[in-house]
Amino acid sequence: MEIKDIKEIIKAIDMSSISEFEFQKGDMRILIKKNDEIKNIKFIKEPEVESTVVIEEKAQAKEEIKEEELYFIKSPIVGTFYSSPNPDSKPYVEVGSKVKKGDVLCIVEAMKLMNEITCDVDGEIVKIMADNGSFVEYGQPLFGIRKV
Amino acid sequence: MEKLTLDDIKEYLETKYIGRNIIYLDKATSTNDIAKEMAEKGVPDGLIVIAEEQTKGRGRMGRKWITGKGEALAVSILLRPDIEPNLCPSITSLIALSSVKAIRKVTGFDIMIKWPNDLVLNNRKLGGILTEMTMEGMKVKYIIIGLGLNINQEDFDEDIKNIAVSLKSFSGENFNRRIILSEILNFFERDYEYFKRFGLSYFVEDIKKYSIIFGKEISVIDGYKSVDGTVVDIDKEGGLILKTSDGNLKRIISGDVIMEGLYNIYSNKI
Repeated sequence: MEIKDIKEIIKAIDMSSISEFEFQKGDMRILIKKNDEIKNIKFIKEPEVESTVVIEEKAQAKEEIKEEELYFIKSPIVGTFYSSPNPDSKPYVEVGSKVKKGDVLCIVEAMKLMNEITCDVDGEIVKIMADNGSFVEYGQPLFGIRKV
Repeated sequence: MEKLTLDDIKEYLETKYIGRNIIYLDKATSTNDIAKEMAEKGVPDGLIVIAEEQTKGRGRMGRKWITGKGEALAVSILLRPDIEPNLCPSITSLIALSSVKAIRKVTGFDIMIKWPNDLVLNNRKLGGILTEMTMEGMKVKYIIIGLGLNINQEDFDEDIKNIAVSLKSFSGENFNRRIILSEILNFFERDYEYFKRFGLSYFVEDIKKYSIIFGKEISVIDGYKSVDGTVVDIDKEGGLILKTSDGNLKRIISGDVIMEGLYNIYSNKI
């Protein structure tokens, strides 16, 4: 795989609703994460010859958040994810929003059933794992929250 | 104006619990809001909230619906089903069907369903349904069904004149709201009991029969995306199965239907 291919992949993922992408072939592993603004591509083992590819964007600015530290809010139904109560209003929450138990985080809609997803812990939104208007599965994590 | 308290409708009401507790208001922000408040206070299954005037009646994604005093029906039903959350979206299709059967029985008119939640008469909108679910963790805490129905409005404002219809504007006749409300609750309670045991699959044939878009070419607009195709099926959860022009089948569970000759939310003409 060449740099050009990796760039293609980044571009494709950037334009998609995928928030996390992992690819492994031989001794190369590519891990691309979106919402938290970290895009890492690295070889887990040094390749035998020449090019060691390390592309890091904005990685130094943000500390990487370990998933196991986060509390995840999952979707209770299959449906469409809406980040705001209607198209003209602001999202219920953004990365960095402080949330309390009972706060509405988003709506997941199916068959005109509006499911207001509420927070069941106090904390801070660290990750938003679905795009407005995207399709979400049952049990799919929607928000990563750092509990306080 | 005929009132809609339990005393007023009990002679027509055959239900065991739905509508046996009624909050009847002259004015409310929205009946769903009041029902939600009551649900949070622990009021049991089957409560209904009726308002003659809604100042913040809402359709999907915050769209407004204005209810004229005494002419329409704005009612919310509180349910506390002990079922998986994934089954709950089907409840919208269920109450649409129950309402169609009830209003057909009372009026004899060809009321149809515009998938999944609107009632149609003469290709215009007769009513709509908005369901809201509240969870506690991954369990259903309660569901509130909001139903809005045009009954005795003589006429509509210029901007919705071509797309809205009432039983009266269609026929010139006045209808008794007490009977219509009671019949909807009667049909719905029966259907809901079966639904909890057998799911929506028990009702799918009837839903197809009364669907105005079945077998038709439509578009479904969902946010910024649009899918075109022919409606070839409605599945056992109420999902729409579209056959697209490349021959693929696509399952749709969200979005607004656009069909030629039928009102839609994007235009004030048919």
